[in-house]
Amino acid sequence: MKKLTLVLTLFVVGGCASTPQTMLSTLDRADPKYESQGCIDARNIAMQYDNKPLTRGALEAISMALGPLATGGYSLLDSNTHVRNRDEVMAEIHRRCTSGSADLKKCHEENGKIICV
Amino acid sequence: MRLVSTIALIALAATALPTHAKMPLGFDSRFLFNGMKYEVDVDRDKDTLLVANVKIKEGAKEDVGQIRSVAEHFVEPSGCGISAIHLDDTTFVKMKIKIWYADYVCPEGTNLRTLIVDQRDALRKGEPLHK
Repeated sequence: MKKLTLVLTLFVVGGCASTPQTMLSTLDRADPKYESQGCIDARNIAMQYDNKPLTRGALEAISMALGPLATGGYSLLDSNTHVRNRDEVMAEIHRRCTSGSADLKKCHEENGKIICV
Repeated sequence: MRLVSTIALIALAATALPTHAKMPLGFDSRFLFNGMKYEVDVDRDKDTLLVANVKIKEGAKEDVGQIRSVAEHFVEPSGCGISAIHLDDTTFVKMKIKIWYADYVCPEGTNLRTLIVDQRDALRKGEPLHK
């Protein structure tokens, strides 16, 4: 029973991480960039992205729980590379599918105050 | 075995914390603006403020103009202005919270960073910045 509880807990913990697929549901479909070819390509890549939720998620959770003890075995999975790739895919989706995330203005001083227009 | 189970359960509990609890900022200011609660932190090296809506739900829309208004409202008493607003995509992806960067420009002789750090206790209670 204890083993079952532990295994289920680890799967749940592992499943809490954001994935490219879950990120797609947060995108604004009304955003002009959503239907751009760049965004469509990024969304297709996200749909095909393999998260390996059961094995990798559980092993990530075990590593998180055991800390340094699990480092040796866990490194064999090259998980850092996996997480980095996942983050890169998600950052790319955000960059290609979301507009209006930068706003620049020119500033000048007027009567001791900065005015930006 | 019991130890491992306990640690795993603690890890599970940690994932259930609200998103804003994971915010990495030791915030310098917290205040209400248009009925929403924001946290502002001043970068210790660059002329940049970090702005976040602490109660926003994941996936909720938040536009750059809204954040500009928040940042301008915050710096207004100092005479400083906001030259740029941008979103750190990497932070957004990793922390599941939008942390906006507001670059500021100040009149000669005004050091916004020092003002904020000196008034940190009051700012954290929601009081406005003063020169």
